[in-house]
Amino acid sequence: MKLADDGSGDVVVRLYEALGARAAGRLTLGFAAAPVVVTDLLERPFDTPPPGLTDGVVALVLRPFRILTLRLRRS
Amino acid sequence: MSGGEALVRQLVHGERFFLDELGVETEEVWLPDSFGYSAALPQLVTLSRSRWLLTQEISWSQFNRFPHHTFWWEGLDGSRVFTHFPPVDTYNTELSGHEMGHLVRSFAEKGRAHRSLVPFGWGDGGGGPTREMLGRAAPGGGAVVGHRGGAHRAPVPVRRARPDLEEGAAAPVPRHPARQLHRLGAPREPGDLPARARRAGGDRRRSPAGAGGQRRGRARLQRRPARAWRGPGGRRGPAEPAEPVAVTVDGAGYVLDNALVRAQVDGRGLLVSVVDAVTGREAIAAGPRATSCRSTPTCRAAGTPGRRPHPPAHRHRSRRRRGAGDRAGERHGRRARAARVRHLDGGADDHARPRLTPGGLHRGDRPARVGDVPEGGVPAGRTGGSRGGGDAVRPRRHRRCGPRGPPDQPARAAGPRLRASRAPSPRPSTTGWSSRR
Repeated sequence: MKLADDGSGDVVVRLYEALGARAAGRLTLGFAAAPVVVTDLLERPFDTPPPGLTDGVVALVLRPFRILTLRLRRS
Repeated sequence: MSGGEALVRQLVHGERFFLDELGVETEEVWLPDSFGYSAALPQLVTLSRSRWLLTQEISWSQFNRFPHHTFWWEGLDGSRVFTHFPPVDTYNTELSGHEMGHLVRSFAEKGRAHRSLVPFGWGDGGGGPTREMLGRAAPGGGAVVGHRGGAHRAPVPVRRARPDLEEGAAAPVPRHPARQLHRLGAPREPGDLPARARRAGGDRRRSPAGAGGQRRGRARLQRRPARAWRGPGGRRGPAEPAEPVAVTVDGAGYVLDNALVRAQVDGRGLLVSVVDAVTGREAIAAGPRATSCRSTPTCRAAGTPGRRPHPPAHRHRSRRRRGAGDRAGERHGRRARAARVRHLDGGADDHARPRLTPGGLHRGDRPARVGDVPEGGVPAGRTGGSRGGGDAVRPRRHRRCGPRGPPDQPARAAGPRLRASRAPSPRPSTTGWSSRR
């Protein structure tokens, strides 16, 4: 977890699936954020549909061994 | 050995430097001297929006020889990256005859690939090629003008041994953990397996524990029964459906549902959707071409709507051997139900348009396929070439699902590329490795 390299104050969270199975999980935020986007390693957004964000909880699904970088804009 | 997150930061800093200072988005990852590789490396390369990887360190494995020099590297998660491992086996190349001879002899993809790359210059320690190396590499080079004193002199190859190799030569070779592997039941050599299997069988007959007993050691490997497929609830053997399969008509197609899996077959007989009822996961990638063969242009054209245009004819010709015989290319669409045959032998450029009759080349609602030659032959034209006075139209190489179609070039996707393209390998090009933008 880190602040975005561009100094915007966005929060970057990198997660990975370590057990080699499809996994679903929730990421609960301690701050108000919108939107949440999936990015490449340079923290530039991909064009994928963003993960669902409701009441400060991000719903995630990861493929086996998938690395996922999320960028959260604080609101 | 660098861990995954350390590699991420290397990639980020390197790419950002090129982006900020030079305005170039790099597409290659250059990792010549990593003492081991993260199994996530292909995924990391892909997630950095790079397309290619070059690495050299595989040259110095203590135990085995890597079998390829140009290959798709698939990582732990299934991501793939097009990878080159220079067969010259050094990154301190001076382009000497010795080095060139070595790379020509060792290049594993010789015959399949057209090029290999050579890391040129002082690699270990940086600095690039010296003046002497450039002189040697220049056409007709061999003697260079010395930059000090101006006298002609022959290039003096300065061979710098790699410090780690020197250490490696002095240090004892680590013992192969044969005993441990033996205890684990792994064959030490692939060739060991039959003999070991026989021994294991003898052990079992003598064993008081009997065939069902839990035995440790090497016999266990052979005694383990073939892994049976486990059905729902952990039962072995073929699954009985938890629920009867419900088949409902959906437009021109069908939906099959057994409460575990919901499969959708469209009017063309193509499987367009398979959804796991528990997770809601769709197993078929989106797009009109799901489950249709995409290996050859013929298949692509015959498969589904939304097809891509046929690749230009010159691409086909350029990939074929000269004088390779007939080639039939189809025109697509409902109205162009004729095959156009061009004979490439002997410089002739004759065209024939075989008539395609119902039940003949053309079937149903799809364009003609080259493989669809009916019984009794096609009322085909003759092509008047040099091959025995003319050949009947028949498929030669370009058959459905054959391996001869021009490869898909991996498109530079505009969208996310979370996974590298699974298209067949493009040939590496010398220009491709430098930055294209």
